[in-house]
Amino acid sequence: MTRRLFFLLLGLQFAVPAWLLTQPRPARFGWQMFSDYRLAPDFFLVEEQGQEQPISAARYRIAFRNDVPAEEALARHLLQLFPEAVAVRWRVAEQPCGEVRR
Amino acid sequence: MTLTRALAVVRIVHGSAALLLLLEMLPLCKQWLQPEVLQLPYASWYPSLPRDAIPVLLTCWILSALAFLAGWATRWAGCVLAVVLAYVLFLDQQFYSNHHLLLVVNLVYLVLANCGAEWSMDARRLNPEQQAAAPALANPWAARLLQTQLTAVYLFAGLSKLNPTFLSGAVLAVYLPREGFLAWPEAWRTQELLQPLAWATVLGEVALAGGLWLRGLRTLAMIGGGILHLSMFALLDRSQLLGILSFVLTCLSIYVLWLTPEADAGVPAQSSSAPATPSVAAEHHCS
Repeated sequence: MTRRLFFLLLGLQFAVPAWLLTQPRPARFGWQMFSDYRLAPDFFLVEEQGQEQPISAARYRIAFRNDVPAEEALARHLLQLFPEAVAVRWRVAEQPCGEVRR
Repeated sequence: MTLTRALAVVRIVHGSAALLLLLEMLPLCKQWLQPEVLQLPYASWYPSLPRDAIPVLLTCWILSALAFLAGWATRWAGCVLAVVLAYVLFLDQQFYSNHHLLLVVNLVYLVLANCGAEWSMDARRLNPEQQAAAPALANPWAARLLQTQLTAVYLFAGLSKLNPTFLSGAVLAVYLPREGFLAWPEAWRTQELLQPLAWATVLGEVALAGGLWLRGLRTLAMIGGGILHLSMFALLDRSQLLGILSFVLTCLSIYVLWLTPEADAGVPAQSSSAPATPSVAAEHHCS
């Protein structure tokens, strides 16, 4: 029993991170610290006339993490908080990355 | 050093790391509770944290960490601490951190290893005869899992860096400090310098994973591991200090297990290296 438990846990220790090497990096639960980096995106509220208002996303999330893809969820959250916005866009280094419309 | 004493060292350090993690998490939890802040659960069915339950959770965290550190009702304290930390880790995706995960996993192994057999309040309650039998109470197979876990951390930290972005030196260019005492000079931020440094980082981490298991290379690996971990303080900004400290303590404390006679034994299959006095074993299993 003990031997089986030992090898089961040992297998998990190596199998899970090995599988995560096949996923985009950095992946959580795979010990992929500092394996890659992403710049934090800039968020913009889009008004009905199409004008963009920059918004400080740091106030509306706990922290930006490379390994937590939270942009879309944050955009939806911002849409709930700002009923006057018709969409939320985010860009990284001026490059459009995504948009969520109401 | 005996395995039970080595485990006691690991236990004390992990208890302290859990308290450091609490200090790191407190401001994050406070921010998370603000109504305008995004909550990002892993699954909708996961029980959320009502505001009224926060003092209870924090009390459980502090008391179980202190009890675990002191070795009082060690197994129960370790179980409670692991459950509390795991609950918080999975409460929100934004709470994820590698050192938090490592602490949770290691706590499970420490509980399985019977880390309160020596240098603990549990052990002080035993009579001298029972105390003499204490070294036989550690579970070497669970202690070995702590070592293999650290090996996996080093190995996959290295292997995951085998990608074009990291090997180009671009990741190091981002993380190397630009200000302060340990600032990396701008003149050294060239691909010619950062690329070999990136390769050296990967090779160092993978070598560390194997080197700790080889008796001839162990001392060198430990020194290398110490330098690697200390360099994290230089590379990362001050806001991550508590997290780095927790991670460094968690990792380095495991090194002690390679200083025990069991370090070079084969796969430990049995729960105990020698038959323990039944009464002692019973007392420890109840603690």
